[in-house]
Amino acid sequence: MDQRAILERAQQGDERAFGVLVDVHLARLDATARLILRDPDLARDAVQECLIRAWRGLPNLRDPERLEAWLYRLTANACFDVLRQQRRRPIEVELAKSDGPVVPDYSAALVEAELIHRALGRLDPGQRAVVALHFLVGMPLTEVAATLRIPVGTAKSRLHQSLVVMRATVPRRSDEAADTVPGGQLA
Amino acid sequence: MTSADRLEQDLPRILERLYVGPRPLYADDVLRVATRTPRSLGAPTLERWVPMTPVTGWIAATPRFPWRVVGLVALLAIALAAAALFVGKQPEKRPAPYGPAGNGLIAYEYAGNLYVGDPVTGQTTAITSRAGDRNPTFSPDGSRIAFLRSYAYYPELDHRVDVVTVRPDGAGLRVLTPERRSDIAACCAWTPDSTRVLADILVESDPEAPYTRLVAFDASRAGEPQALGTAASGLALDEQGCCGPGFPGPGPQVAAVLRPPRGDRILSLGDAWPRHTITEMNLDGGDARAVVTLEFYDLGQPAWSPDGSTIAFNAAVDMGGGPCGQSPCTPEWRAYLVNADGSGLRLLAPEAGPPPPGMVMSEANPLWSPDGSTIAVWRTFDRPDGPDCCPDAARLVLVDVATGAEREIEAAPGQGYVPGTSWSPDGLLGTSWSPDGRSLLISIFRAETWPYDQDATIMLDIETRQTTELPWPHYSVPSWQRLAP
Repeated sequence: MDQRAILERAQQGDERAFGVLVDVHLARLDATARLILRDPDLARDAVQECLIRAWRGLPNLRDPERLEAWLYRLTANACFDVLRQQRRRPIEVELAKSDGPVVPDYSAALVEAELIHRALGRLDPGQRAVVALHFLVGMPLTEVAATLRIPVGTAKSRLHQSLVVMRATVPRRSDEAADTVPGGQLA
Repeated sequence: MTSADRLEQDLPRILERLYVGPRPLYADDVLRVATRTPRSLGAPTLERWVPMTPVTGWIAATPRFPWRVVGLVALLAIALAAAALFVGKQPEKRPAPYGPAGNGLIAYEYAGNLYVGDPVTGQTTAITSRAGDRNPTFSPDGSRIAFLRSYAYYPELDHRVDVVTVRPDGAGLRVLTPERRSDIAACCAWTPDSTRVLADILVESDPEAPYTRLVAFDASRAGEPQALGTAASGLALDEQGCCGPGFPGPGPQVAAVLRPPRGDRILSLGDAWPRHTITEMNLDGGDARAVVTLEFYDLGQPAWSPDGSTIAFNAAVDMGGGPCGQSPCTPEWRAYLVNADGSGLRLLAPEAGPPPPGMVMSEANPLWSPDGSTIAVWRTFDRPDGPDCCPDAARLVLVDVATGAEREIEAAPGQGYVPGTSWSPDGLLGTSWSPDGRSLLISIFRAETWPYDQDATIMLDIETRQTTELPWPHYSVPSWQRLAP
């Protein structure tokens, strides 16, 4: 059964069809929410909210090709709604350990990943949202801007600022090491 | 490869490793909760029983009559008229809304501020300084610039904006929205008579699945906009009244507004696969008439000729499940012409040869010259497994509308550049004609800094093929002022 037929069944209230439609996107929606919110529990709340909105709004979706972009839009909006609700109390920022492998590994690539993870913690949620949608989801910046409902210029400047922060955090040495000594030791 | 290059190149892989895991353990729970949610919750209680569209349309269309303002304006107008008579001044000559005109200033946005630049001298002037302004668009008569003004540092947390106009010298700022609005999805286009500013607003009856509707603000004063008619989705206005990414929703997708010369008809795209249709209709959705219906072809980017007699558009094979029925897919888009009455469907450039082996050729963004004699179109060549960011090659082609003969301007913007987003059939316009039709303004980004650096603009003289880079950075597609010829 093609996507359009599945979409039509989900639009008519078929819960299994809805599950088929969104299931393939769940891991990446969760990743996007965790990158923006840096809290697994809040990310789950955001994904939950995204799916509720998707289920309710699905009858109005015409084009199956828009489904994926629409889901990311709902996820990003849900993340910002979560942040809005969290304003009154401090956000517990996940800083200690990345979600990567727990087995100690001192390869240059993993050190670099850990540094990137920390660098992301220095960004604000708006910057992280742009990084997530552009680099993790692979959206062009025009689509990132449309998804977040921000001007393209704002998306560009946020991405630029984010990269400046990440470049400052990730030493040049690790770039070169990753080029020449895959799996090498921590400098 | 520089350190910076490497970071951006590796980020997708690093982020994938850091954040993307298997299917979340909570997946079944959140799916169960979602599908147990009643779908009717999104509609306001009243709207479940009363159709709100006619009501809201009526409310928007009949604002309170501002007697005091009218009186003051009348007095002011009399005083101004008397002054004009006294000094014996003639009214300033304005250009017609369509057809060739003189080249004036270029409005653009950089870092949230608006500027006008003189493309001849390179001199620029800031006309706003609030760091929240965007989308500057000159009126067809060249007298004012419409734009959006936001106030929040995080627009995601506060979508409210004002629709504002200002004179090109920065004076006469006029806010058209009585209150800041959070429902504006796209802005701004002008009606041909330069009296109204069109915007695309989100219909909030179901905020989780918004669709959009055309509205018109009176450019002379603040007031509620007039709703122009039936719901339409997918519209993102720019100065040429064309389309961009929008939101899913019911109804047709408005793709091009304002049929010249009166600006009273729009084009919409509709699809009931495998049939795809371009439909012409009144601004209120009435008197709809299919212009083109093609089976197994996806349609896009319809654009009126300056005299309103012909429509240019793009089409690509659509076999279902995607633009070309496979994944990954690089569809071949070609530009077509059709008469406004639906007759005379033909390829814009029938002489185009086959692409190089292993490449897919696409034609994007057919752009009518101001006199309607020529269409500029970007012809791009992609390897199906090539990078997403940019085509392998891009060439600007000028096609004689009457004969189909073409002139190719290879690598016109210069080496090291790729043409903005203009290769993408779904992208934003990055190329526009000068009002006099002698140049093309091409928004580009520098290939070595893509995608996060600011755009640059190349001015291409189509006769001499000489290119000039405008000496100012910007973050938006520039808008060129029309002057009386």
